[in-house]
Amino acid sequence: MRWLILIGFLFIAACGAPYIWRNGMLLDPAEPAPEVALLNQDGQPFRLSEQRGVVTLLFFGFTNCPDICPTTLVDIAAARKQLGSDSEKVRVVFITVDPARDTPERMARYLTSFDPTFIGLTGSEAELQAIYQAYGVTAIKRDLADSAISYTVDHNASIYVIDQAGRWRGLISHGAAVEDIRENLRFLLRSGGN
Amino acid sequence: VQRLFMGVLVLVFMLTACAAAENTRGIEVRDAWVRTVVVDTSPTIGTAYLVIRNTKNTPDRLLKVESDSAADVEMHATIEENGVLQMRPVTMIDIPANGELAFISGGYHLMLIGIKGDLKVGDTVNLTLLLENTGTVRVAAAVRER
Repeated sequence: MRWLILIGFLFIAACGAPYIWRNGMLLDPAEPAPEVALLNQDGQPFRLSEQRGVVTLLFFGFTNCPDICPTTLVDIAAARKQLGSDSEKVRVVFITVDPARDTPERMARYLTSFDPTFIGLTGSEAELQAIYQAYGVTAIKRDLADSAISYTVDHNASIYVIDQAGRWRGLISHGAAVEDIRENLRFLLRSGGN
Repeated sequence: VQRLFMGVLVLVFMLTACAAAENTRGIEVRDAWVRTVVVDTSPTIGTAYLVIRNTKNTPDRLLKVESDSAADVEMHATIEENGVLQMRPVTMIDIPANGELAFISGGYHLMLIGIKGDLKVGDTVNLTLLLENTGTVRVAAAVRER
């Protein structure tokens, strides 16, 4: 009898246990995500508010970033792939922090090498700055006198997670494992944006 | 007596050879790999990662890295400050005695700038490390996705 009660408790705990967001932060309450209205790598307009029914991952980076950006994009691509057919319900959007060098053509080739479905966005300095500010993204250009790339951009490398209902639901920290990204996505796909 | 002398001579010779080998080697490199960033426009870039182990009882210092696959190879450190990631070139990095220097994501990395030709997964990139006390160490790094 005692065992039965224990097993019962375990079941209830398993069912009712809230999902623990992995490696980052779940925002509660989730507010509507600030609008992102920019041009994609094909020169077509993109609006975040039109991406309903899918989970959107925003990542701010630049193509001359040798370490953190490609590492994160490779990991996101792997996590997305591991979702199988559900990968179609996940959209990945790369927003440049280096509009001077990240031309649509350069971003197109760059992103295709990670995942051909990745979207790359750019815009005017003013448009981009407004978006960085809305998401609390730091993007500071730093001249590097001793480097062949002449400057770098200091930036946040978190993944910004927007749910199916267009709400900014969470952040995934940079360096999160592929499994962490995948499980957070599974959770959102399961809960259907609720 | 002559035989003993010969024996000692051989022993001394062997020890010298041993010490010499220790001196030029003493450096082991593992987990060397390169990821290329695929872009059409200049600069074409890539990143090399590797772990250098110094098995000597004396410290060493990495001064420079070159590659026949890239116009420039720069040593960079990734520094995180309040969630903001910063990449900064460094001119030299110490390798402690019996210690390691790891070029891994989020720490140090080698940035290859101006990739020569078209590097694909499975290709090999030759890297030449210049160490203050050991001299030149050659490393073959495979191009991988991750």
